[in-house]
Amino acid sequence: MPTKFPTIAIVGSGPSGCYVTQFLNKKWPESQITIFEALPVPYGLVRYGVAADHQGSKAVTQQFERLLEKETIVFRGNVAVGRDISFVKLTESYDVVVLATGLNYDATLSIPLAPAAQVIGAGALLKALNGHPKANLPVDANGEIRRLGKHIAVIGSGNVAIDALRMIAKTDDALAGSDISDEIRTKIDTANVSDITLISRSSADEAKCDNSMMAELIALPNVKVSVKGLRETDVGTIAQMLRKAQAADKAETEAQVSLKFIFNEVPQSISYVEGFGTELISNSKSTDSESSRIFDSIITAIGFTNSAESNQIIPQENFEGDSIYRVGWLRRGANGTVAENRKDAKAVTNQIIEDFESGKIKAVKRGLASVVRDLPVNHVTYEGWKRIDHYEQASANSSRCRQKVQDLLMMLKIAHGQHAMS
Amino acid sequence: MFDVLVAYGTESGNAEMAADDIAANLDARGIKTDVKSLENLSVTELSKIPHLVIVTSTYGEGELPETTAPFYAELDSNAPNLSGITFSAFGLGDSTYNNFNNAINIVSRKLIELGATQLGETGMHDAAMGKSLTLAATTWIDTITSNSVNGHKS
Repeated sequence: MPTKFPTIAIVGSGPSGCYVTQFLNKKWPESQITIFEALPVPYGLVRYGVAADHQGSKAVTQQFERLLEKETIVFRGNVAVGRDISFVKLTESYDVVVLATGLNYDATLSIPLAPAAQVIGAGALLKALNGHPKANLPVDANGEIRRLGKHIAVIGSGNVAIDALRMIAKTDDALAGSDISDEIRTKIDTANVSDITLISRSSADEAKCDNSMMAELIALPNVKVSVKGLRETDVGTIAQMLRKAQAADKAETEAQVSLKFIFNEVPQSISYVEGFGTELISNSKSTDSESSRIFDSIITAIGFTNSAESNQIIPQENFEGDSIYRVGWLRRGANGTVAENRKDAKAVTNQIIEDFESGKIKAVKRGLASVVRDLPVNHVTYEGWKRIDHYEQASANSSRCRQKVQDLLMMLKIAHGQHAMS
Repeated sequence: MFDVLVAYGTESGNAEMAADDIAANLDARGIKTDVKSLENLSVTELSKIPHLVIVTSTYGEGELPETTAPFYAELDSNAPNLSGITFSAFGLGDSTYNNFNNAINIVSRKLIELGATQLGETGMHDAAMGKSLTLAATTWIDTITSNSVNGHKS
C-alpha cells in the first residue's frame, strides 16, 4: 500500500464537486485537495440553481462549509480553469483532476423561432432570481432587463418548469425566508403576472416533475388551477392532484394568478406579432389540432446543455486522460436531483480510489504548489468567501435569509476586505 | 466495543453529518460510539448493540431514503424480537413538503412494534426553517444523554 496520497484538483464547486471532495476526504483525510471555482463564491447549482425558496435543499451547504474549513482542503475562487490555468497545466500539476463544471446553458427548442420573440431559458430565469452575477435575461434598447409581462407560458413539465412557475406565481409573503433577488424580481415585475400556462409535450402521467413539486405549487394560496389535455387514462398522482385542484372553487379575490396546465401539446413555432406579443403555435397530440396563443414571455424548461456554446472554461469533450474524471451533470447529463448526483459522486470517488490502489494513478505531483503563480492576484480564499457570506446575511432584510451580492467587482472587494459594511 | 451505535439513512448527506455530530458529542462525554450507514447494518446485529441512535431523513413526500429502505424492509420481513433493545431517534425533514419527518416515525414505530424501547423524545430538524442542523442534533443528544443514556448505562 502506498503511504502517500494523490494531490487532487476539483474543477467546479457545485454539489458534485463538493460531494467528490467529501467522499475523497473521508477516504484520504491527508490528501491535499484544491477546489477551483470560476466565480468568487462557491456551491454552483446549490447557490444559483436550486430555487431561492427551497432553503431546505440549499441546506446541504452546511456540509460543504464544514468541508471547506478543513486544513487539507483549499478553496480557490475567481479562478477560471481554461483561462487562468489551462486544463493541461492542471493535469501536469495534480495527480487527479475531477471535472465538475456541470451544464451551464438552457437547451433551446428546435422549432422556428423569431428573433424578436421574448423567449427566456428557465435556468437563466432561476439564476437571475438567485442573484447570479452573469444571468442572461433579455434586455431592452437601453440595456434594462425586460419585464415578463402579464401572460406567461412555460414549456416543459420537469422540476425546473415547476420551479419557474412557482417563483413567478409566488407573492412576496410566500417568499419570506428565501434568498430571492428582490432587485431582479422587481425588474421582471412578477407582481404584474396574471396567468401562467404550462405547456407539456407529454401527458400528465408522463410529466417529469416530482409529485411533491406539483403538490407544493398547486397548494399556493394565490393560484387558481385549470387543466387541458388530461386523458381519462391519466390516473397517476399528478393527474389526480390537478383534477382536484381544478374542481376546488377558489374565491376570485384570493386567486390572483391563473395557472393553466396543457398536456399532450407539441410546440411548433414561435413568432413575434408586432403590437401583440410572442405567438406560440402548438399541436395537440390528442385532437391533432393546431392552436395559436399569444404570450408576453415564453419560458423554456426543456433541459440543460453545454453544446453549441463556446466557452473556454468548459472542458472540451476530447479532454481525456488516465487521471481525468468527470462527475455529475457534466458526466451523466442534466438528470436527477442533488441527492442522485451525490450517488454519482460516490461512484466516481470509488473509481478514483480503485485506480489509485491498482497503481493506474500515482501520488507524485506537487498540486497547488505548482500552480500558485498561475492564480490571479485577486483569487478568493475560503476566508474571502466567508466575508462575502457574512456580508450577504447581514445585509438581508428581515424577510430574507440572505441578500446576494450580484456585482462581481463588489464581491471581490468584499472578499479582500476592501469594502466595509455600511 | 462501542456503547452507542449511531446509524443513519441519508439522501443528501445531511443525516450523515447529523450522525457524525451526535457521535462526536457522545465521544466528548466519554461514551464510545460507532457510526454506520443503515445500508451496512443488518437487523441480526441489533441484539449486540448496547444502545442504538437512529438518524434518518425523509425523502419526497414522506418516503424512506434509499439507504433507510432496505433496513426497514429487513425489519419488516424478519420481524426479529427486539425486546431488551433501546434506541433513540432523530429525524431530518422539510416542512415545505407533506408528511414532514415521516421516515423517522415509520422506523421508530416499527422498532417499538418489535419490542424495542425508545429512550427520550424523537428529535426533529426542519430544513425549511434555516436553523443549524448541527445545533439541533447536538442539543437533542444533550437532552437524551442527560435524561436517559446515562441512566441506561448504569
